[in-house]
Amino acid sequence: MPEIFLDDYARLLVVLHAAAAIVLIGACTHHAVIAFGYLRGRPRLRLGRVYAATGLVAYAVTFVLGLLAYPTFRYHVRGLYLDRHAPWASNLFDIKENFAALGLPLVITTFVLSRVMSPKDDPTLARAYAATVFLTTAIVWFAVFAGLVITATKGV
Amino acid sequence: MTGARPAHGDRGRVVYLALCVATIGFALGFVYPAITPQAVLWYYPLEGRWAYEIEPTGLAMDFYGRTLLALAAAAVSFAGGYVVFRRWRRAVAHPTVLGLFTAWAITATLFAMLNFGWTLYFRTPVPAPLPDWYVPR
Repeated sequence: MPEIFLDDYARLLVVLHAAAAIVLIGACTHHAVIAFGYLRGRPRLRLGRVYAATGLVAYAVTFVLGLLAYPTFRYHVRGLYLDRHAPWASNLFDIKENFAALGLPLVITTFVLSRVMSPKDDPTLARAYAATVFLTTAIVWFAVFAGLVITATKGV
Repeated sequence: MTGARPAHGDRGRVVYLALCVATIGFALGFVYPAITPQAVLWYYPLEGRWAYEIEPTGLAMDFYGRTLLALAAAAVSFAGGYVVFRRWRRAVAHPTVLGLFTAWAITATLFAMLNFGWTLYFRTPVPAPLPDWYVPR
């Protein structure tokens, strides 16, 4: 059997990846609710900052854990099983990973914005902030549910 | 464009606009190798080695390489955007510019997502050959 980077720890990494994703989807959903309040003229600045920071940390942790487990997934799960028996799940995984990468700059943007903007003084910036939060949340929801479906089809 | 530095209250807008430019740079840097022949870093998980090439010669992953390329593009875009918007005070203060760059950043991200969604949805993956030791787990 070939030696694959962190193969022995792949299951642990995926469990931790899922745990971080639970934190991430919670933080992003709460952040979206807070951002909706910004649009309605009821900014809750402190909570927005807390969820933006939590979202950034959870996104980074989830992303890095996914990167570490990826070589094992690529060969043992995708290469040997999904590509042969469930190609739609292979494709769904690649769509998910690409979407998740594209969310990286958005989650950094929302974190920095949450620190430097003042929604009362700058309503235009608050609307832009809300738009990036909503798109980030949509990406996270898609990635989490796609991950669940893929893992239910074949895990590491 | 003026040479004046923005007031302290504009700092958030300058950072935000530079981040919008970085988001556009990231999206373009990430999608570029997928739509045109461009060498990126590939990782070969079975051999545990890296290669900088356009097409892989075996089972390999370009995700790490494309992400690194996109991060580099985003960093350069952010630096360029920050320098420009720090000096371009009139644009920074204008709500239309803010809205435009937000829309462009979101559009670039959605364009890249659409590209991956469309091409991958219709992809037919090639399975790796089953080795002798293989037992489904």
